[in-house]
Amino acid sequence: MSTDLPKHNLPKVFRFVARERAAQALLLALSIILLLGFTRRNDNTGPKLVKLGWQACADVVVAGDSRTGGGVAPGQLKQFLPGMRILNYAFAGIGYGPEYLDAIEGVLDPDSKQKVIILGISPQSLTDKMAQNNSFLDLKSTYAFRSPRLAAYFQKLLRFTAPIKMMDALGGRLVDPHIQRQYRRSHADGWTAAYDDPPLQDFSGYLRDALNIFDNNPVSPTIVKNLTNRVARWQSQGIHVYAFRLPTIPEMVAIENNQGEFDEQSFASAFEQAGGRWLTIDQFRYPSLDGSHLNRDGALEFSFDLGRMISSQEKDPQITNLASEPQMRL
Amino acid sequence: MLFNSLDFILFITLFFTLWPFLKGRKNLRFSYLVIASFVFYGWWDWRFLFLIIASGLIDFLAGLAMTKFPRRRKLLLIISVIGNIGSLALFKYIDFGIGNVNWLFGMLGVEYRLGLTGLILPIGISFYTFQSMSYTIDVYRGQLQPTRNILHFFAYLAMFPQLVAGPIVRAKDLLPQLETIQPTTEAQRWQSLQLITWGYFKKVVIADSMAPIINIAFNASDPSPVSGYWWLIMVMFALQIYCDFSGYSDIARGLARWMGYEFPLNFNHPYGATSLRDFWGRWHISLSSWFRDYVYFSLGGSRCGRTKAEGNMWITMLVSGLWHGASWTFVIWGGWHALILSLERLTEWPKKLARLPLGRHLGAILVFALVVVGWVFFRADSFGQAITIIKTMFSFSAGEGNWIMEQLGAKSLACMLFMILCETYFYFGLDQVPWERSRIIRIAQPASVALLLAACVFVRGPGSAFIYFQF
Repeated sequence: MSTDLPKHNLPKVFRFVARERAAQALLLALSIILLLGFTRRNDNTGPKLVKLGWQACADVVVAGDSRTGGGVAPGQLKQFLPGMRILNYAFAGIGYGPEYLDAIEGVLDPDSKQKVIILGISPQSLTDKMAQNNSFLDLKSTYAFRSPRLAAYFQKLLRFTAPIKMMDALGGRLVDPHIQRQYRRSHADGWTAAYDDPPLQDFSGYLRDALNIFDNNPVSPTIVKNLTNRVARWQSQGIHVYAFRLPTIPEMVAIENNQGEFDEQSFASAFEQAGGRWLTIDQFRYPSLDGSHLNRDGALEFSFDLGRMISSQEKDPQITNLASEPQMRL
Repeated sequence: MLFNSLDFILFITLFFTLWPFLKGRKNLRFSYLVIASFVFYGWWDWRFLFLIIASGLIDFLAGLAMTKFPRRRKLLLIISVIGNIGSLALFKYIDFGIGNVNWLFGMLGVEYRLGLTGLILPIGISFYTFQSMSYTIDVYRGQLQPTRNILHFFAYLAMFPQLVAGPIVRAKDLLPQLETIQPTTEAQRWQSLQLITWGYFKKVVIADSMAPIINIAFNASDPSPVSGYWWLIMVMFALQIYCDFSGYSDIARGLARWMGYEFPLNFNHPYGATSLRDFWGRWHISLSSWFRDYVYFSLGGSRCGRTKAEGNMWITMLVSGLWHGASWTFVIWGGWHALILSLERLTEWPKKLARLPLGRHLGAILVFALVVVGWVFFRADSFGQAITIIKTMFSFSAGEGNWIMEQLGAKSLACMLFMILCETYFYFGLDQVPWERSRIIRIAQPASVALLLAACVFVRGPGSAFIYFQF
């Protein structure tokens, strides 16, 4: 008995595909895209895309680069600012360019009674290089729909079409082993908790990265001026703006101050002149993940302290009263 | 709407889903094309739809009036040209003009300064204005019968695949095509998918992967002093602008073919040209032929002696440079090409070189190098920056260490080499080999297109607008 079916007995759709090369190519392409999309390693793009879609949905927005993204846990801040919607809107490698500043403003709910912006300041985020070329702009240009409504519907579905880096495609075999030992967990409020197992001992990688970033690229007076101008505008609109220098290790601070030419005092004074409130942090108190970012425990501890400092400065009596008895959650 | 945006993917899916049901009746087809094209254009900023409608109405009415009042044809043509050039001048060149007047005031010691208008440049204005003008000029010259159907006219003028970045399709080529609709064949659909896929691949994988490296080079406050670095950056830019623009044209041609229409070839592997004249026969063909037919020939072309012909060519090239952007660097770019074309005509070096062993290949390399030097003016933000880069390129200063990999990155270098290999393939005519006769190749073709499509998704660079949108 022959198993071959006569051609005219095949369903119509198969006959169509058999004769249409365009259909064959499109079906094959779709299969490859789905196969690669669903089997690829989770590269943390999904949570970033969700963040990118945030619009008019927060009372408190925490902004900055990956050090803020990993260092500030909104859950801890909430203990001091109860009832407020707090989101961590930090992106890796961000610079405080105009597009990012606009986006921060866009996350605040215009109807919120108490609007607060908290800026995590790393000197890297005040350089021209990071302001012009960063992951926020890349993500925006790669994924953003022009229409925010379309974005809201589709962005969450697009994780599997994120570009694959060469290292990802090789299954991580060539990835620097010190990065491989990091585990990251993205929280719905935008915080990325990170920890090592076993803890990293050699912090030279990120120190080298910092040196490279500051090579011919010190802190830009233009970026600082634009930022302080924006802070003044926010303040005039009734938005409370706080900023702090991110905790790290002494070697990183030395690079930031010397190669990055960052003068914390003059920055803080310009920031306060613009109406913002500068928070002085004990920079070396919190455990570091890699010489640059805080690890999960360090971030929880630091966020707790940050929440306490902000609540003590907020003038709203309701917030100040409620901020009296929180317990640190680890 | 950008071809490389997800909005467009949704738009085009919807468009082609409805197209088979709406393409049958003429006016329904025209209306559908016009509405879709206006949605496509208005997605960016709907207010500029009024500009395209106004520009189109001038030419539509001028065309009709020319048949009704043949003795006033010249006046009607002048009104149309003033209307079109006027809108182009207002939106594209007014601030450039004001800047130059202010500079002149400064030179003359006058303290008064004119304020800049800060008008936004409507996307694709240079393309649709030229397309609209060609309609009136062709009617004036008696080469085209004007259409009496306004939907027919706007379906031609605003047809979305070519609306914002060409190819500039002539009315005499497209208007008759739009009148009828032929069912597409399997081969046409296959070719159009190949064109669309290859166009997307060139744009989102090749051009967009090289773009960040090139932008960093040009934005650096302290530009690299290494000669080889700038040669590589400029070769990358040459390939980027080629892939970006020809990619757009390929997508436009593919989309039109899928509908059942044919747009002219806009790029024919220009970097394989063996003379600059040959280059201009292969690069942005629809624009260069527009300038030849409507500017060069209108000035008298080569009919009035050698010197006048040279002058006409120079004017055409300088205007072509200015068409690309309101900046002196674009005019200098046009001037650079005019200079090389003049030298070519004077010395006939491409012909002489071609007679030598390997001379043709040497000529192609030399022409490519000359074009690359010209691109410096095209890409540079200022004349000073262009001169600094050209000086560095010819200083032959060497770099230290592994600067190629460190400063240019593996992906952009891989893209550059891939495109050089592709263009070499076409240069040696390997595309003329009848590969399709091989059964294996025939079977592998859908797989290769599928892989290119998957690469567009997973290997794409950071998205950016098409370079020619700004023109």
